[in-house]
Amino acid sequence: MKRTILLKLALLSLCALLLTGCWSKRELNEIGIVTAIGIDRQEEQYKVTVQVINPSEVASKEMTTRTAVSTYTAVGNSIFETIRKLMTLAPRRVYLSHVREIVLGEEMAKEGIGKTLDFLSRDHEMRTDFHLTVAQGVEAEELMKILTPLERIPAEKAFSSIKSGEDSWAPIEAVKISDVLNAMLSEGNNPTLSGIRIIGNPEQGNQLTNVEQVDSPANFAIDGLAVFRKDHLVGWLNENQSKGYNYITDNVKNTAEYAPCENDEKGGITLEVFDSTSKLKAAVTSNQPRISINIELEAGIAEVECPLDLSKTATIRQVEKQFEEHVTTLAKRTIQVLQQDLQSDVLGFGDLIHREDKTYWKSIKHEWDNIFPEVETEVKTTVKIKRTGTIVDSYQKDVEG
Amino acid sequence: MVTEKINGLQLFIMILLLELGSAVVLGFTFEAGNSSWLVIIMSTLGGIALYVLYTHLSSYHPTLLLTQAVRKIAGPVIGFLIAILYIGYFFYIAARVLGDFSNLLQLTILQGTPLLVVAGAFTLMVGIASYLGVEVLARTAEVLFPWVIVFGGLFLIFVYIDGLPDLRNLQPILDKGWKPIIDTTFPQGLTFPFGELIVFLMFFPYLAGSTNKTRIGIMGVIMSGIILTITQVTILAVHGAETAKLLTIPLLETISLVNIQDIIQRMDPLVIITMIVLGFFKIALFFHAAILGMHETFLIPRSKRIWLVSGAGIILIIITYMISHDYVRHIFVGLEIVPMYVHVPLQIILPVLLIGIAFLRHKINP
Repeated sequence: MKRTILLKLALLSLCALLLTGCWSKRELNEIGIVTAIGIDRQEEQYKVTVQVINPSEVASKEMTTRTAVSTYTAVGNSIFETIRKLMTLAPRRVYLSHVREIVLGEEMAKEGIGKTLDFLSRDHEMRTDFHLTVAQGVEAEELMKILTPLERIPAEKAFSSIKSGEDSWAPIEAVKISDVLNAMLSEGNNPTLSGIRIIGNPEQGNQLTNVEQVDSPANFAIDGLAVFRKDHLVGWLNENQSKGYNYITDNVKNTAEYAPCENDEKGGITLEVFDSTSKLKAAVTSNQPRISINIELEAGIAEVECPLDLSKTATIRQVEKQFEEHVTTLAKRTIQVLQQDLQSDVLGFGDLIHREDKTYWKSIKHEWDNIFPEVETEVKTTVKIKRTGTIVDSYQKDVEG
Repeated sequence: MVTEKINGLQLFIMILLLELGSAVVLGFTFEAGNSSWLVIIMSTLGGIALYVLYTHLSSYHPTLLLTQAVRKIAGPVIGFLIAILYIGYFFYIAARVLGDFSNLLQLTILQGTPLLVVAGAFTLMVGIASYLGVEVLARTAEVLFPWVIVFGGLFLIFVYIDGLPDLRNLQPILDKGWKPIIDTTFPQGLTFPFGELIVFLMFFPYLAGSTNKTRIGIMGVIMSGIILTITQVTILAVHGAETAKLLTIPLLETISLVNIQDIIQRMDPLVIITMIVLGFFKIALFFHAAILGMHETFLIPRSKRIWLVSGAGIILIIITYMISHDYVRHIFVGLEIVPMYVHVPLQIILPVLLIGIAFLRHKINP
């Protein structure tokens, strides 16, 4: 009898051991949830800026006059050291599992991001689902301080801009750390990162008044693609070149495409592209690599300013042809910029050749950087217009007539 | 003496869980680049041969445990030494796997928890299972198995629905030729995990009489080879060989990428639970093999098992701590030294020798 009571007591106390929770538990009110990290170089050191959520602002129903996020900046020898150093400023231990956005300063990107990525992929608190971006023309620190309307947390705004942008606007590419690592480590590929840029007046961006106005004086936009050679930033692709890049790399889901009217008419015609696929093929003939790119678009007519009779198949065919040339030119210009100006194989032509002909690749892979600008390419685009929208014919000719 | 029984299905499941154990979680070696899934196929073929070898060895004394059989085959003195060698070996593997899993859990979800506590909690469960015996162990496998399949299946479904694998990462096949593939198949791929099937020589005598252990076992080995290959191909296709090589737990890194429409995301627990289940089972199997060996070799009666298991459990924790509190060295020893100097002699050379002797004895004195 006594024995069973003892046994039960022992079992109960064992339960108590299990019920205390995790060994290294941290309560929500002890941690500062970081949503974005900005990394800059300051001479030989790192300058790290973190954007920490102010939980009572985000969660509570009552509005106060405090901002939804706060930023802290510190300078140190390594990223990890600097983040820990932030403890001298921040009241709570920073917690990195919910980071959505990493912003790298442009100057730092030029010096090389390889060493920075080590921490981001090694640290156990960091997950891998954040977006990597490069601040265009400014330090990452400045970008981190802009408050945004609509989304109370700026990092969330950047994250969803990139995400929804990737789905509906061709120049935007969402880049995860694994993409960058893969491209960087591969012999026949180079990484690209989305660019992010301040528009308006950054001075006003960090004040609450910025979001108290209908038209915020400062905001940031996802713009352009940063082109790297291995881990160095070598230049930028502008909007049209980024478009071309995403068409070639089969990264367009839905977008708008505009081309001016033919025959010098004023205005233009706009398509809504709702499907785009691209197939890249490499061929090696007599030691000359050759890449053929086949882009196929499916689109609908979204906006017409030209006097066209869209009820005729011949007209549709003509518009298709016009856009085929347009997209082909976009793609060709991008390739030209990458081959001549930036000399960086971000399109993965090297990998393509490697997959096609591994013996040939082995013989040239060390000189690939010199061969890439000379590689011949051929671009072919097919556009299929599937619908013309809710009005059949264009009324422009009647308006003008 | 043997009264507990396990059936064919249980044997099949036990083989599967054992094979998937460390291999599916740590990932098979990625040294052979983007064709390293071929290593698994080659190792599986070798694994079938090894399994047949072990069943052949057990066919000389089908009712005896390995530690008893060696004394019949190699004589009482040498046999006694070999028996102790195998007990030590099983025990060491249990400690090594326990070290693997405790370290990984520490790395992933229990960062602040001391290694001893993680290893202790594991050992407590393993000890209870071992105290209750083979039949309980087999039934545990039967209960846990569906979960492993469900979680593993969900893992694959999520990863493929999300469109993460890019099969171009697997091309060109045989980029560096056959040499790295053969180099990693032997000894590493073959001995770990397939050579570890030798532990079943301690469990064959418990099989119910009518079980065809060769056929069921080969099916188990092939099945685990298929699952391992699919896993490897998926991981390679998601990450690419260059990155996959860098990852500590490739499977976990793969699942953490899954994000389907912002609804299905952060599925890491799927992998962690699978990891714990597989880890528990593998440790329990080796630990129990060592316990059975000790019972029988040192003539410890069954009634004293509670003391044997508790003592061995404490020693297990101590050894685990000794060999693996330094994870870098632990992995280095595990991949560079153990396969060649421990696995190969005990999994291949010694069994072949024993079969040779048993065969001769059988010839001379049928």
